[in-house]
Amino acid sequence: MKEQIKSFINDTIQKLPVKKNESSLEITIKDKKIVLEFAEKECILTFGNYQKTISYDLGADKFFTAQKGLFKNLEPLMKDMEDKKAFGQMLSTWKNNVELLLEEKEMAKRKEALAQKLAIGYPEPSLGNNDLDVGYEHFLNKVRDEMLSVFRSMGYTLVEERELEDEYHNFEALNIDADHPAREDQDSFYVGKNHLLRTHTSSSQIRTLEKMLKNGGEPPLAIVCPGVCYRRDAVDATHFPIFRQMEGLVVDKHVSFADLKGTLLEWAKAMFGSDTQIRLRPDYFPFTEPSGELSVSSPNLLSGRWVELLGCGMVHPQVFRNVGLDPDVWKGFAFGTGIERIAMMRYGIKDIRSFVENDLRFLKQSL
Amino acid sequence: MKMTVSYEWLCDLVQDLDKKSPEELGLSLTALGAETEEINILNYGTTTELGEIISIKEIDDKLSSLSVKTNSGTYALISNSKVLEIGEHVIYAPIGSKIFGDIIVSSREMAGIKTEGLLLALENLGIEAKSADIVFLGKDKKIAQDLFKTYCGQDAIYTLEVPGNRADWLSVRGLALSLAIYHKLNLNKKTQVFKAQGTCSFPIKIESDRCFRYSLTHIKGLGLSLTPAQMQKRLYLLGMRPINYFVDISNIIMLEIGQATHAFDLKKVQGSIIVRQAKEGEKMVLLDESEITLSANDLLICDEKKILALAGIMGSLDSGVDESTTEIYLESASFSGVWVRRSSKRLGIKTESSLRFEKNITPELVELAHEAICSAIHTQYPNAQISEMVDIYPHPSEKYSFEVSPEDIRVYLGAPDISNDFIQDVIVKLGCTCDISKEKWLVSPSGERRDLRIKEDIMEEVARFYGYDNIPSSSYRPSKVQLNPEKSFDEKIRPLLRGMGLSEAMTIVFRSVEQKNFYNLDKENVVAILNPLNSEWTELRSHLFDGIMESVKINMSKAFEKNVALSEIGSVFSKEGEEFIEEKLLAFVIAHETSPYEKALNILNNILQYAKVPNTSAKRIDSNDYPYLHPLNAFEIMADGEKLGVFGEIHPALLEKLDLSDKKDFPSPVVCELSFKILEKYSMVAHSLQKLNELPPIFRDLTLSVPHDLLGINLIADLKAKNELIKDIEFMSVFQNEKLKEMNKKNITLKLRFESEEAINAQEIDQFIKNLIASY
Repeated sequence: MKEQIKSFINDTIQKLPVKKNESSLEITIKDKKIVLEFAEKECILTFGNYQKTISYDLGADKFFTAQKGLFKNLEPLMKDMEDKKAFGQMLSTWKNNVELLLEEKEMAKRKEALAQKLAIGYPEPSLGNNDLDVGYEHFLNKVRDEMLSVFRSMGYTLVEERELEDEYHNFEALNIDADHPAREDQDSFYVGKNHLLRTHTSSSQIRTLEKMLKNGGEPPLAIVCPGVCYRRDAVDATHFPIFRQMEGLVVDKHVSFADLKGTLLEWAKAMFGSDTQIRLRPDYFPFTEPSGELSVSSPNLLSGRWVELLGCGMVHPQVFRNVGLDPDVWKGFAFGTGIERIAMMRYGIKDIRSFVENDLRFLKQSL
Repeated sequence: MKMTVSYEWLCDLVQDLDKKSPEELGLSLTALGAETEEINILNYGTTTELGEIISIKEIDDKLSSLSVKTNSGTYALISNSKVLEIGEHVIYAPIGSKIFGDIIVSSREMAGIKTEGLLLALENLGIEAKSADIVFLGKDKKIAQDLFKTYCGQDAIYTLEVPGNRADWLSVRGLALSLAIYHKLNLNKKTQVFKAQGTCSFPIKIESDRCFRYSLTHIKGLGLSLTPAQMQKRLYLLGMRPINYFVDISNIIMLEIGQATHAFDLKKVQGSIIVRQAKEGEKMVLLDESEITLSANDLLICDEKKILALAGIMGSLDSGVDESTTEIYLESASFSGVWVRRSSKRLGIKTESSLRFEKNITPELVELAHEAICSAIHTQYPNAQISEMVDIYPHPSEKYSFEVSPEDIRVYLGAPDISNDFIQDVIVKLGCTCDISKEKWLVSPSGERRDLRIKEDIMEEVARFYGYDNIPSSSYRPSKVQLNPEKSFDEKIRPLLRGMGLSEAMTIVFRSVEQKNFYNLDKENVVAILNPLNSEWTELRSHLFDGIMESVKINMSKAFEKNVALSEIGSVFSKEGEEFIEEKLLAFVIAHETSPYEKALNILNNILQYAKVPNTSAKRIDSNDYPYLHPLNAFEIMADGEKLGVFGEIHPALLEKLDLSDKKDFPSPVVCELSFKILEKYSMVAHSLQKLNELPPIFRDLTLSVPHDLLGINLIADLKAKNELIKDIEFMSVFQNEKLKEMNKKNITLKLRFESEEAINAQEIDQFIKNLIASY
């Protein structure tokens, strides 16, 4: 340390009124002399009777700058100097020199550290253990969300309703009477005398209208109701007893079949591309009249083949009466579509059962 | 429901319909709502030739070589038919011509003879699928020419999907009427050609109200006769087989009009006709010789001694007509569709007749079918005596009528261009009466169309014939938008879950008893399916985690994926007394080679924070409630004192049975189930923004020696409650050595973050910490 400090001093006293000896330094300002003597463990400062020791243990930097360092010990000598200006100049130049030197050293040190950092890289920078996994979306959620956002952008509100329904809401209120073939046991899962797993999301129509009227509300209303439905279909590549539908319902004073058609056209274009065409054919549902079945054709879907996607129609007046709305005042349209079917066509999924396996290799492709 | 119909038959019923091509009619049927699923076009009139056998030479006991002469030449052929005769006419297809099934006729060499074409069977003409015998057209050239035209002329067979309410479309006539209206053509008028003689005095007793209408006609002077080729072809094309004339004409009329009829051999009917419900356990033998056991809900046609028919479904073995029949009772009747359907389903017998009755064909058809059959019989047997029809129709079906203005229709459909004339034309052609003298027209639908009851039904018909494609499209926007700017919690939380590595699962809602027992789940409140699809799926799920575990297993065994993290948001079901409870849960499962517990815990904490769940605390589980979880490495999560869900490691005993990994030390998967409703509730609470403190926080690390049983999450909650300056407490570590263990203690180190708007007195904080340490 002593040598390092000495070399620091050597490097910073050039052009200063300092005389360098073998193991000491003499600073002469006019006729006053300050002696710095480099002993074994410390530097001894002598000025007349005044004597101070500065330990090398402070380190090369601190030897100069610390509270008990060289400069702090030189400063008080000012008052005994005749030529205060010269002393002051000497001191400040020396301080400056030291500061510059220290900065230089620091810079060099940093540079070296950086060079070291740059010189040594990871042995294998391109491979690592992936601990931060990403989760993937389910295809059915993806299609559901997409449809929802289309209808929301058109001003529809999301409603979710129960899956375990009573016969009234699943059938009767929708004008499906007790003798209707759809009510045979083999088509629905019953869990009680009057309770079953809903066979379609159409029951949400009734639930929503009932709630709205009970809470003192009244139409207009435009809702979409996605959800799980159940039918006693034997399992194969295209049938599964648990599936998802999305129902839409509009009730307003002046809505027409043409409005229904236009709405479905907008939906189809938003879902399958602006060059999508729709085709509407008469069909039958007990809860709509007239009823229709929508097919779409899009270059983005099965190379433009016409595919049946959705059942729809004008709300049957009996349905309005069942919930307590006057069909002479209120008109409406409703539509329902299967989410699995759309997902299967869009992504070319061949087996409906893959949706419940949740094989990560499959889910990863939903992106 | 499926229906088949042929082009030739449709054209026979509508004037000038044959000017449209078979393809065009297929499109029309689809546009009308009778969707053409398949169309098979048959047209062999130009590719085949009428030929006459001019020589036959036996090659061996199976094959004969023959020469067939046609207009274009004489050809050498080979046949295995046993009934070849010189002079018989046949249908000849030359080499290179295309026959049914897109088969090209090629030359073959047999017994040294090179064949120069093929003699065709019905299957080669697409008339019947399994009829490989050569068609003989007789020796009379004139007749043969007509038959050739019948078999080879232009035709097409349509397979249609008909909506469930259109019983009228289960008849060629019903479809023809719709096509006639659609194409603005007229139906060919069929007039009654016979004259009834005398009455039918046979006694009839109707003992069940499931028979709506019953009529009988006595016909004598009949005998054996051949069903005309045209009729046979129509039967074949629509999937039936010719049997004998009486059966055939009954089937033809059923296909054309939609009403099944039945001919009883007079010799075989004794005393009177009785229509009654069966006695429970009664037995009968059907036409197809199968014996069935009846239930009290089955409807029967009987005489004094025996059962003649299972009403609307099938006749009995010994009541039908045969070669010796000369006198018949012709039954035309109407039965309850629901009960025909139920009997047919229970007995597993579906016939063309039952299919029509179960769709509630109208009793109005009874008379129509009677007239059509009698006319046909009269044509076939000009000397037959046909009695008047005795008709029991106690409650004629209800007549409907309603008012509708053409403007109502235009507004409802949104199609201003539909003219009054068009509307009136459709209504009248459908057989409805229409009084247009007032602004609101009075419409009374035809009894044949029982699906037309209200004005909307007529609107649908107008739309149908106007063409759904021709109705304009308009853009509707809700006139009142529910303000719902908040995304549902579902949509908010799912991206977060994915970001934390959880993929979205959708699992099966059904459970088996075995699955439930595997996890020792609650047996009391399970919702059982009364009519399960199979023995695997007999109950509804009461949890999500067990379903997700199935997917974990699939991923490990099929995808060889050791690290699986799945989440699901779905409904679970339970029963309390008579009440069914449906609850939405958010669940996740983490199966991972390294520290799944910590991973899952982090996810749980993030969910709780994200949903802004306040005052979270935890409770050690009671193993009786959660036998599937590790008794210590699990806890119930509480939100403000209310149970939010459960978190824990799968019980080690189950882990072994699950057989997830070959590795001995594979850690137990961690499962978590949370009430979606509670999470959603808190996430919807609006919080006012808290001011960010300008002053730096003060941190203090603190190690507390706490009872072993104390859950850290509760300790943190306690500490937070003790000093309002604590803004956050970070868990650093936990320590326990033998000594601490003996003392039933553990050391928990926490980092406390104190914050305030004003300068914090560090000494006060230090004092607080000292007091804390002293208090534990």
